[in-house]
Amino acid sequence: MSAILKRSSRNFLWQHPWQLALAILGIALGVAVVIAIDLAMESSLKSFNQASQAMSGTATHRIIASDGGLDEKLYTGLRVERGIANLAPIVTGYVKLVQPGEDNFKLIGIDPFIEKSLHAGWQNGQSESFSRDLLTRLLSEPNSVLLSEKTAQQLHLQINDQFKVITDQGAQQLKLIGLFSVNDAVAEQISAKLIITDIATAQEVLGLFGRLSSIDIVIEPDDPGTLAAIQQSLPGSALLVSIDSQAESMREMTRAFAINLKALGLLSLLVGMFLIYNTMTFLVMQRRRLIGSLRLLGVTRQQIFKLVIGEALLLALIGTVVGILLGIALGQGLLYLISGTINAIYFRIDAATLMITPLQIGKGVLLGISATLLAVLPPAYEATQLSAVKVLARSQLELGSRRLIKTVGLISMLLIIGGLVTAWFSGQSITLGLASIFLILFGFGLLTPAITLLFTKLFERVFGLFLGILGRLPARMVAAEISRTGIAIAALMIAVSATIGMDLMIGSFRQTVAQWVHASLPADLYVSILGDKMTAEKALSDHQLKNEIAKLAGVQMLSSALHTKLIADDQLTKISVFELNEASKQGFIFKHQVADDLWARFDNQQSIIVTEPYAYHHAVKIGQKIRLKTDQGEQAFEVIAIYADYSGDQGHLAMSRQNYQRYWPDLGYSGIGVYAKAGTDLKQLESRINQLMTTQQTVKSNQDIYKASMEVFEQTFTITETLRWLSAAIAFVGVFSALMALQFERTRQLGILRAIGITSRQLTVLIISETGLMGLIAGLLAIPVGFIVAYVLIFVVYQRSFGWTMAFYFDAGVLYQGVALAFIAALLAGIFPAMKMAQTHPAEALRTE
Amino acid sequence: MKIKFLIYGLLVALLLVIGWQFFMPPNAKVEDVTSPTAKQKNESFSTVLSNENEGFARALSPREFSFPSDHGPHNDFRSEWWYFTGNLKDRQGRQFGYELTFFRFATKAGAPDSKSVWRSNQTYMAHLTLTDVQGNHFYTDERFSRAGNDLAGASDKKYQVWLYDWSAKTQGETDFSLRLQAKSHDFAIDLLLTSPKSFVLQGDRGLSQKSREPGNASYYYSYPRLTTEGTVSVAGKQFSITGTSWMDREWSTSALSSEQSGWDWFALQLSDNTELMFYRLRRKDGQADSNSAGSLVLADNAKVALKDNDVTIKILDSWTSPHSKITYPSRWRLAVPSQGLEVEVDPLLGDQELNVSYRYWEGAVSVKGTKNGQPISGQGYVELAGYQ
Repeated sequence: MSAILKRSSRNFLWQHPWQLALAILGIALGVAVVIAIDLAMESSLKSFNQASQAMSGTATHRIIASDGGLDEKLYTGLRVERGIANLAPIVTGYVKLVQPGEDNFKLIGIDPFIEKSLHAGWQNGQSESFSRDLLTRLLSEPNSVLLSEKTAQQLHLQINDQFKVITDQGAQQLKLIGLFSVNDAVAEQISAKLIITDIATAQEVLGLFGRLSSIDIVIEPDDPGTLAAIQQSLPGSALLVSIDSQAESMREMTRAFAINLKALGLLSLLVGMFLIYNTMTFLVMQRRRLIGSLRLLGVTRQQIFKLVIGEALLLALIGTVVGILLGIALGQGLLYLISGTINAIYFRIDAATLMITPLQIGKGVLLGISATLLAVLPPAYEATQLSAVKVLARSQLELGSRRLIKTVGLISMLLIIGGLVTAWFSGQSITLGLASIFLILFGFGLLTPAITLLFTKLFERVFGLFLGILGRLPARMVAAEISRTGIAIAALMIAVSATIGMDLMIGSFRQTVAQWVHASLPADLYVSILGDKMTAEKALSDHQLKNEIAKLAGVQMLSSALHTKLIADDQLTKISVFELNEASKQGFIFKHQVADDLWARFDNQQSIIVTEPYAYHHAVKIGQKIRLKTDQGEQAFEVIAIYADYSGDQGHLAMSRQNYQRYWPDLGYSGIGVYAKAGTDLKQLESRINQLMTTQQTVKSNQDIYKASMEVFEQTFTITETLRWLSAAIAFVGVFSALMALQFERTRQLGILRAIGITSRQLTVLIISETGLMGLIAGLLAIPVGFIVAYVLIFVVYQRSFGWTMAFYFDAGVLYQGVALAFIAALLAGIFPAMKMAQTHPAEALRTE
Repeated sequence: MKIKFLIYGLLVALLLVIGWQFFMPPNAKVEDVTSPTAKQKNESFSTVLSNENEGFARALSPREFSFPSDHGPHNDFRSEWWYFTGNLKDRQGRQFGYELTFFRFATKAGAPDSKSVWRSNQTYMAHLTLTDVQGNHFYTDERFSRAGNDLAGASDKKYQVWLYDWSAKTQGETDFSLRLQAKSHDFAIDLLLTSPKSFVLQGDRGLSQKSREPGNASYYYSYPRLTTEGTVSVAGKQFSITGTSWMDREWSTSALSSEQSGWDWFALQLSDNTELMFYRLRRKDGQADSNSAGSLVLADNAKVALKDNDVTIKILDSWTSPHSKITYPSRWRLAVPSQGLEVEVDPLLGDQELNVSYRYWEGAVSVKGTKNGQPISGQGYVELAGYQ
């Protein structure tokens, strides 16, 4: 019996290849997007971790410092006076290759004579020649370097060849004396843009005399004494962190970003689920007669249930495998977008490689299969309910679904209310905030059939008035098959409302950021000073530059900023050090009323101001003290204001230059604001300032800075935009397949219409208006839902994820676009079946059922 | 049927995708590059000591020694060492031997011109060993560092040589007493050395010729008897010890000639307050080398120079290292007929082979024999370099 069942199932499925393909596509796309996001995000973080691990080897801890770096005598102190072993001093910086392509390479200066037990990246190499002799040569020959075999090959460099790089110190000639080989793809990727050299060469090439970038350490877990000894000898600017915690904090930093991305992936899967549901329902409905006959032959309900679930499982399996493969391909593409965004706002990832783990694949399989099964439960249940006697007419089913719609309406109201309540009470949790959006979307999705019925009544009346029966027909057709049309409309509605919601959110965000950037650029010209802050002469040359600019004709006054890091709560914390004038003080947008003496306190008292994200993440209130590590022990600074800042989601502190210079070393400036006298020709002034500059310094007008900032903004949202379009594309496929299935299923019905005198042109119009109507309904419904989504995104999710408050900016264009998207997608989906039906002979159509 | 196959096929594909991840070898680490290959280890000091010598000073003629500056580094010469060995005993008579040696090698002649303190042409290497006779264990450790950033170095103002936290440092204004401190993972020494006997200039007023070519020589002085007290630690246990140490100081640019393969070096402290130092140079062709030499320091510090033919050495036994498979001589009958001295030199442990970057055997020995018919005993150290 079961063999016959299977064969019947198989034969049926083979006869509907389009439906099969679409169902598989639905699963595959949903799984692919989820997997791709997961892979790309994890790979970005892992690439970062592995790159640092490859270099630090078995190191368990690392001494890091603020921008000024570490005093190299600290290393001598630890090694010689304290006798601490297993330390690796490191000097790193970036150099630009002159030929070819001007690629940036990371230059890592090491001490070749440290303990072998560190297993640092450069200590691993397979070639026999990579020996102590080579390391000795590295140490004794100035400007000698090692490259990975592959990199040398790519650059067409042989051993003993010279090549040129550009650094802050100007052009430098390096000599390749040896190659190191790596044994896997990941390490290869990591080592692709790496130059290994001796620490002396690194200091000379980068100009970092007297400084170290970091010290890697191996500390046995049973050796708290060493840990304490190191802690004791650290100056105020240095911090001992465990490698694990460093990796953990990287993950923590990008957590909100990751959750938001993953939510977008789930949205795709949700839309995909509708697609599966739709297809499976179609496949069940198509077999009403067959299933009825089978039941007559004595096939049990369980067997029918198993049959449907079995089919779904097969589809799920194929869809999941295709989805995983597709996801890996897609992940490769997303990887660059995601790591680019992480680079722009979090930390530098030198080379990201896609890394696939069994866990992630497993997750994809589980998601794909369980989503499919979930989506297929209702049609499977429905199939068992088909009674043998009734071999039901469609009307019976539709009556049933209409009854069901009422129950579902209740459930959906509960879901929506639940979603809103969740949003309200989600507290600090980003996941709950996003869950509330899903609840709301799902709730409205379920409500869609009911609302559709209302809409169709309305449309029927309106169009009926003008166009008679043919005018009523599309609306009636939608209403008559609400079990099918409702779901398609719901899927489309969800995708479109998510699009509208995100569009509104991004628009609001853009507007807020634009206003903020505008307000915080009070100066006419901005000089930005790049270059490594560790270099000894930087502070001096920065001061010189500032003095020279001040002397230029047309310059009224200056302001300055230094962006660096200090240690608060045992964490390197970003801080901006300001030297402000009356005009630049206007550039701050405070999140609260401020007293008149704020700036006096900022300049003269031991005080700081903090950005909104910082205040949010660290639950900082005005009047609270933040303790910062200095060489003279910890110092408390009172928080006197909280101000708007959208330059990063971790937030930072800001203090006056007077305050900073009391405790920390002068690192020069990151930027100088130039305020011109009224009537000065800014172009001329800019070119005069330009003449004072070195390659590390640039001058830009506030307009240019504004433009550049907005470009960065757009860049950070590229990934969100991309994912949004992906889910819209899935929705489109969903609608397309649902509508096509619907129309093909109706061949007989349409045949009757043709037979009673409707022309093929009329039929085309009829079908297209039906699908168009569905699109319109979905689009109209999506407007309020999109609004709610945007509202929750702006005031719940983004504020909690990133600590930013933003104003809600309404953009009518977004709404039109949303409705148009839904309408056009539905219209397009109607064209193909319409054409096909129009070509079909009525008699044939009636016969083929 | 087709569908069934399709399902199975897909399942297999899925398993393969998952399984492939599990069976991929982990990011396997390859062997340490800083650890030299067996071949490199067997290159003895002779290779190091006969490298190109352009720009370096040579030991051509006897010189005036002056202290404390000559305890300091002689960077004009290619290589140099501060060599401490000694035999120690705790109150219960538990015997230990130790070696702490600092080597300096110049990678290039002259001082570098750089603003980076890490840029240095001087590289230091240090070896630390402890022979635990009762525990039948020979502990070794080695270290390297450049002299840059004060990570290693030697002072010419007072006796001070160090590499990381291993050091030999004078305790006051005078050269002695000297404190030796060095710790490794599972053993350590902390010793105070005082000098009841003065130093002795080896060779011709401190010029020790190693082969016939002029300049193939070193400047060489020794403190043959240093009273020693302090502690040694082995595997978490500390022992208060007393004993006698020997210090050798030697610097040169090129010492051995290309025909020479290595040396056997004896430093013996005898019970009649005399000390015997003798190095027998070995030639690659197996012949005796006429440049072998030594000295006998009498109780009153007077030195009797010993030439190649003043000393006969007979090998009584051999020992094959289980680590390197190299066979070393391991018991000797050493006679100085002109002094009526004939002793048997016996290692306290067979396995005192240093399997470090440069492989050699350096071990504590006991001495027993007769001098002018009277029984005599003693202790010392033997170094066997250049065996393959």
